[in-house]
Amino acid sequence: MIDLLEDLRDANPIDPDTVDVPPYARRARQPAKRRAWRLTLAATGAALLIVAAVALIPGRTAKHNDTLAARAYAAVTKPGVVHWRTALRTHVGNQGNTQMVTEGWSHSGVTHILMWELYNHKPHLKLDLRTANGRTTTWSEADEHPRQSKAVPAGSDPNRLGDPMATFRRAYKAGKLTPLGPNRLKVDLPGRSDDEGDFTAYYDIDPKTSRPVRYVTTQPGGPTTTVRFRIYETLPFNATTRAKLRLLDHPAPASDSTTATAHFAVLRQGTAPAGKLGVAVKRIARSNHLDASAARKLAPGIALIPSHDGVCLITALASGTGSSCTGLTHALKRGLAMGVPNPAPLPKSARITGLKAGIDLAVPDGVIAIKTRFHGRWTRHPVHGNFIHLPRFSGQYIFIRP
Amino acid sequence: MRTVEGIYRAHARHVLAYALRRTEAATADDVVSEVFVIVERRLADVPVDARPWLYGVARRVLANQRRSDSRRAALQAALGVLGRDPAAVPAPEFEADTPLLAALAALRPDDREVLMLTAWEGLAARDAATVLGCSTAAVHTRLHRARARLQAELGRQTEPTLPTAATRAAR
Repeated sequence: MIDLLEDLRDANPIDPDTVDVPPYARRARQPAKRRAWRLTLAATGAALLIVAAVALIPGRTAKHNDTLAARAYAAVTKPGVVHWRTALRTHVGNQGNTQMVTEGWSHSGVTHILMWELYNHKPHLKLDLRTANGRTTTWSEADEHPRQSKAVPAGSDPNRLGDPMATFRRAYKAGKLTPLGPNRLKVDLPGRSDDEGDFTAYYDIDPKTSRPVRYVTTQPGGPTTTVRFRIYETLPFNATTRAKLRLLDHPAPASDSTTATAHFAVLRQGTAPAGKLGVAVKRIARSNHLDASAARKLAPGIALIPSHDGVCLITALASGTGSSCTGLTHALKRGLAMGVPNPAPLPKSARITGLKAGIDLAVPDGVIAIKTRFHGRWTRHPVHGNFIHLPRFSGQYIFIRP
Repeated sequence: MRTVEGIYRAHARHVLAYALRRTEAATADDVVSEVFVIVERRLADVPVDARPWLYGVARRVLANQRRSDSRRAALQAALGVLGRDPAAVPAPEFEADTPLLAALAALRPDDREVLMLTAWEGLAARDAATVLGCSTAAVHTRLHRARARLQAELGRQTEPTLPTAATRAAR
């Protein structure tokens, strides 16, 4: 048995004395650009200021071109549309807690980011974040309603949603990057508030391409986060890039009023509601923050109006006015219904109000018929346009598409 | 005073060799980097005899990498629209090009690890216990069983196969 272990020792495939380990790099002194800036300014005055500024642009001088930080900075600082896809994993001790995949693009102050979380190995879209003109529109799975807010300036946290190399660029410009070995750069990031805390970030750079491979952030007593770059590229601003970034179209309910319009022909081709119905639409649209001008007449006394994340049905009948809204996903699957489904005897009050049994149903484009069931028998009702009135059924119905 | 640089100089090649025996070269470099990030953060916790402690850290980093790879592969499959990532391909271990290495590769990971720590990293049972996070007695037990299993597996690997009906007919 001992011989077997000896044989195993002899079969050792790796000898530590033969492996090539890069030397541990000492901390390099801080880049001299700030000191040089001051000296140049003092010594030569305003006439040389422009020359000095050109010489001090990071990555431009011969000296700084040779450093890992300068090469990495140059690789991630190019004009065009920045596109990234990252996989983030946060863990405390040895416990992996959160895994996310983020994809986004950024160009001239406009940013669009999608974030998925992984549960049971499956991605679930959690966040859609769009920033333009200093305003951020955020859709989160939690409430499905896009919220608008003032865009938050970047803090010290490199993991904040946004361009994942923005912190790196700021650290480089401030001369705070310290080389740790041949492929690694470190930066200490003091928090800008008590809530944010201090960070230390370690950036691993591909020595061949100078592109980021990953970064690790740590906080005293806090979690460690590893972000791996699947993609970090700068694309030209053209039609090909725009087509490529359509990958980021939001698969969840619409965040504007145009998507419902794409699925209900009446919203594209119908007429605006008038008279009593028009008045009801304006009143209900105002109280629900809807765009009344987008409403269209669906049937006598009934209108359809796109909402922020779906569609609403508004009725102004003899029995009174009312509205019902649903998300677009549900509307495409089940339509949007209002009325009394059961043909059971209605109370006397219903006779007074003129209420009749039956359902008014808005159906999306492409539905040619509806099968309904009453007392076990299925009945087929052809559909014309986006509307059908069903006199009686027990609640079960199926959309028939060609 | 101990420094990260001093620990790196003394042990980095051993940590790299440890990782290279268990994964492919690019991941091994990653593992070494991550191990020394942890050293920098926990310098006060690094024992005087640092190597077993470093192996233990590298072992956990490798385990995290493997879990991460399997999750990533699942994610890539689920996010088919985003394309396939070559990094999601499982990393190979050492090449099992001899019957002994083939037998070692066929063992359960726990058995393989205790044998490799003893034979290849040259650790005593006490140090292997530090790496594996168990008692010295448990290492002795595991090692005994692992050697028996390796012996049995090696017997299976080198056992001459009986000629089948087809090979007999060919003769």
